[in-house]
Amino acid sequence: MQRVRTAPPRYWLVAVVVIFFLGFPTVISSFLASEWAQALILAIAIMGLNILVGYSGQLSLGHGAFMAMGAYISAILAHQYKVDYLLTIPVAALTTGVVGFLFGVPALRLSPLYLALATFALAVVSPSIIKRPHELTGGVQGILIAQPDPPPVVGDLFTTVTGTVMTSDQWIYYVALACALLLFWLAWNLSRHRPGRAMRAIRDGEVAAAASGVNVAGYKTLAFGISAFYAGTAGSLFALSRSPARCWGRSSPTSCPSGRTSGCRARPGCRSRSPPRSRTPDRPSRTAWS
Amino acid sequence: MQEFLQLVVSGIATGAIFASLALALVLIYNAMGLVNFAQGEMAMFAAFIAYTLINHGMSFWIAFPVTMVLAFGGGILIQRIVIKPVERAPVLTLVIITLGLATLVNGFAGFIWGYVPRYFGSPFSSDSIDLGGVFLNERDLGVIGVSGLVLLAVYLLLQHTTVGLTLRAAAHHPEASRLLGVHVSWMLALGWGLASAVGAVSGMMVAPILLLEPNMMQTIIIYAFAAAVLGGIESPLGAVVGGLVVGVVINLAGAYIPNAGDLQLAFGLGIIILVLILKPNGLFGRAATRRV
Repeated sequence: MQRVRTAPPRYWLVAVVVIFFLGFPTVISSFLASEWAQALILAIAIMGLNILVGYSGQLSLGHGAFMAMGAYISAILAHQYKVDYLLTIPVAALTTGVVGFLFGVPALRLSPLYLALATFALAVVSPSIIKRPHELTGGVQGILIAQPDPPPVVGDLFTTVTGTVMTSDQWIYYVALACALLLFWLAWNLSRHRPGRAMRAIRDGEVAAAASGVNVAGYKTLAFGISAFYAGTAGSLFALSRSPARCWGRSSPTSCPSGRTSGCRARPGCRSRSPPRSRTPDRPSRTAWS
Repeated sequence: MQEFLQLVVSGIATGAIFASLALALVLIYNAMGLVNFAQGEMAMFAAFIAYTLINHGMSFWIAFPVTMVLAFGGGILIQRIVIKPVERAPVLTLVIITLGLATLVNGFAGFIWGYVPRYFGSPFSSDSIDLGGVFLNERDLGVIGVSGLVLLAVYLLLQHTTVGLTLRAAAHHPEASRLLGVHVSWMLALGWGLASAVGAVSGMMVAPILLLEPNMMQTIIIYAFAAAVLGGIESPLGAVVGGLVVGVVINLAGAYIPNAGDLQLAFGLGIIILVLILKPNGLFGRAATRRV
């Protein structure tokens, strides 16, 4: 740990990685680019989860709920209020972050095991809560949003560089990449400065950390907020990108070809992979209490 | 009033199912301080085994104990293979492992039996019994009876037999028990087997009510968590009381709160969160002390 932290950042390596990811979609098919976009989106969610679980040592199994929240905020803003989809990303991320911060307050009182229990329950319950306001969330059907086309400036630039027309898959890839890089940079700095060190101290020994003057409650809730911020960003991107195969959940795991071109449905059954799971594929309840 | 009483009785019936599963959770929690997220899936798997046995011509009442024995063996097997190597791991590891186990069992059941919901015949008739103007469903009474018997058996086993005593001793004071010649590790395995068998009862009771499919227990387990937390997660009696309370509460809520249908699961979450925040030790739990 010590060695890693004191080692100078290898900027050339960073540059190589960035250039690789920038150039990557130009040599692979549009479909593969969208798959890689999915990978980047999940990477964002996992970065957030890592801040919470890995650094601050709080176990959340319900991060799918935060992702779903980000996704629905984006989808509702873009669909009902016709907000520009790029603007919905920070809105969704910040709102989810605030909610996560608030959620972190009661979480302070819970031991790790109970926190896991409560967040697990949250993950299972959230689809049925999301389904409830039909007008807003589209109920079981979800919200169908069109895939965004690249703005002309970016599209023209892409055409002049590669000689091909930029598809919306590739555009989403670049949006996801930009978010991922920005958030990675943030997480990198966070983990190597005061908050990261404080969180690690809390994880390794809460009492010792408190005795050393670390604001335990503050940093724990902060970790929740930041983590939810990441999850919200990932969820927002997840809704804007499309991957019906994953959206349809366990009840019908096959992808729907029509959805592949028309966009993603943000949908109660939407399963994100970052937490172990947010379960409950939406099936009609068979008895009153199922 | 009649309707209310009927709702209470059917609530107790569902509550008895939650109580069995909650008791299984408590048994494992007591054995190793771990909430077994795979408990529901293990129960589902047991229900599938019972289904297969019945399909091969076995009567329900023979399949029932046979499944319990198989579940007992399966629980011991899981403890030996999956849990024992990580017994001393931190909570995070254990939670993730049981979650992985849940996914594994779920996928395995789907692989063997598929995801098409199956009809699981109830061993009880659906007639009603008139009891002073209150019509009681025989199924409800049957579920209450069977679950009650199993819970009683577990109580007697834990409190009035030598095995039960060593089981509790191994869970509470592993070092001292080891000094006294108790095979602590095997006692933990026994705890897992017992929990698995008790959970199997809830699986077999729930399968005729819901349809049998690999995701059957995913909602039930939330109610079982709520029941276990409400009772104080370390108290077997608390799990039973908690299960009954949760069963009755969600049944009444479903009937009297308009449009509650889908949101009943949210009541489960609400109970969990409220109890954890207001009274983290539940109704019957002892306050945890922590050495710092």
